[in-house]
Amino acid sequence: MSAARRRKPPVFTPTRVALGLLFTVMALSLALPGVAETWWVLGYLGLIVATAIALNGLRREPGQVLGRRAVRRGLVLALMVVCVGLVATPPFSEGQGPSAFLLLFFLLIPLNVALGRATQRVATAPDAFVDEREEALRNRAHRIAYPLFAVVCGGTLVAADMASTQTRMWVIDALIHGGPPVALLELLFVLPAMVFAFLEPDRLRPEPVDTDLSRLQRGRARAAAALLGLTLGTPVLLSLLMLLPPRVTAFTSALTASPPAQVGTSAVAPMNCKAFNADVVVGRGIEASIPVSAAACWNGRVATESYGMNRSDCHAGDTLAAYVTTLRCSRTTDSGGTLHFVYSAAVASALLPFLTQDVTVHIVIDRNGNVEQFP
Amino acid sequence: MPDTSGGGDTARGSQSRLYNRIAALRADRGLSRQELADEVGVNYQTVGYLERGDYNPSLELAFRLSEVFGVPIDAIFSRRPLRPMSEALYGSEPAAGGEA
Repeated sequence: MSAARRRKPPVFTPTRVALGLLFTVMALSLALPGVAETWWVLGYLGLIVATAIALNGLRREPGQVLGRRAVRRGLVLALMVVCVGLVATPPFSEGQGPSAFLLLFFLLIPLNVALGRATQRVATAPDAFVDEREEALRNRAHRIAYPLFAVVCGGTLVAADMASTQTRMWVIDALIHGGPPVALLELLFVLPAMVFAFLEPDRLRPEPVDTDLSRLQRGRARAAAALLGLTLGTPVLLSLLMLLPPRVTAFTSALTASPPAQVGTSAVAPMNCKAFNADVVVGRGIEASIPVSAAACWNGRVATESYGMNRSDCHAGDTLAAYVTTLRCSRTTDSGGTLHFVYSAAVASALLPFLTQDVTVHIVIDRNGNVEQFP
Repeated sequence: MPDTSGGGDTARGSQSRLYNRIAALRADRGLSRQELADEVGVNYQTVGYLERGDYNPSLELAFRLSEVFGVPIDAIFSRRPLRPMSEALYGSEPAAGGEA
């Protein structure tokens, strides 16, 4: 940063390369079927980009709170706790779902943003953007971080590999399915910044600057904070919208061709059939659909299932950041010949998994073809 | 053990302590930390660390500070505690009413 070293900023900084890769991945993912049809995803990606630009344009001053070493050390401790939590998260393969993983993963985002702001991203800054003190501290942080990384991660892997067969299996399973790879990547890329934050002494309070500039900076900071709040708050708001009443689309139609008579029904009685189609959508944006596509037939003595009322037919439709757990899927025929089909499912937000809504679809049709309940 | 990477040294321990008059010289010239930092090409936080004695500058930075203040390096930095400016200018008994 000296007069001799002050030069034109490079075009391809790590941040720009990372953002370029991120946008490329986003663009490619939008090409996937179904994603581009979801309008809010496009809008949300635009919001993320706007927030990133607004935050990037701010004067990178950590302020009075993040400038204190004690606060920065607390931040480092919080990141370590999240990493330990990620390592301890049960692998997806154990059937517990990735809810805990997702929560910890999303917790990493604000912590990493705060760490980047607290260290002014000096740990990853090119030489042209740091002065000699920052360069010395950055180099020291890297010298400490990577042996530490090798000892912590390598030591954990070696210990788990040698301890017992179960721990060895845990390593294999966790590295493929669980949170440990995320913790590994977090430490690999962020540990130098964590060491930097831990080492750097208390920062000075920012000096008073030009009033107009200060006002402009404050305005930009408020706008950036509002955008950041909106970016972080949108998924939460959309998760809350899952508690609204579901949207139901349902219709029935007569089947033109009668299927063959079912087992247990009279061969002489003609069968009439009806198709039942329903789609129950829970949530707005973050949503899941519970589809039902079934047919039932009746002959005046009994109503029977033609298709779509078996256990394998009870599954979720399109989901976006939501989980569907089947609670009940049953088909019964009572003594009066009435057919009962019940498909009940719990829909939960992937971001806030404690926000769930139970949805139940009933098909009740009597032996004469009267639809008593649908959906 | 001093860390020599990057030229300067984060002051650790009394042996590497370097005393300086940067704060006094800066105040004397009416410079803010930011202005001095811009003059010598460092972050203004680094000026603060220098003033506090938390960081020892590289020789290059010491020369730049010397050029900005227009005084020799040994008037800015010392291995021993520095005397106040007035004492350095006027001796142990400040002259009453006269200029040096």
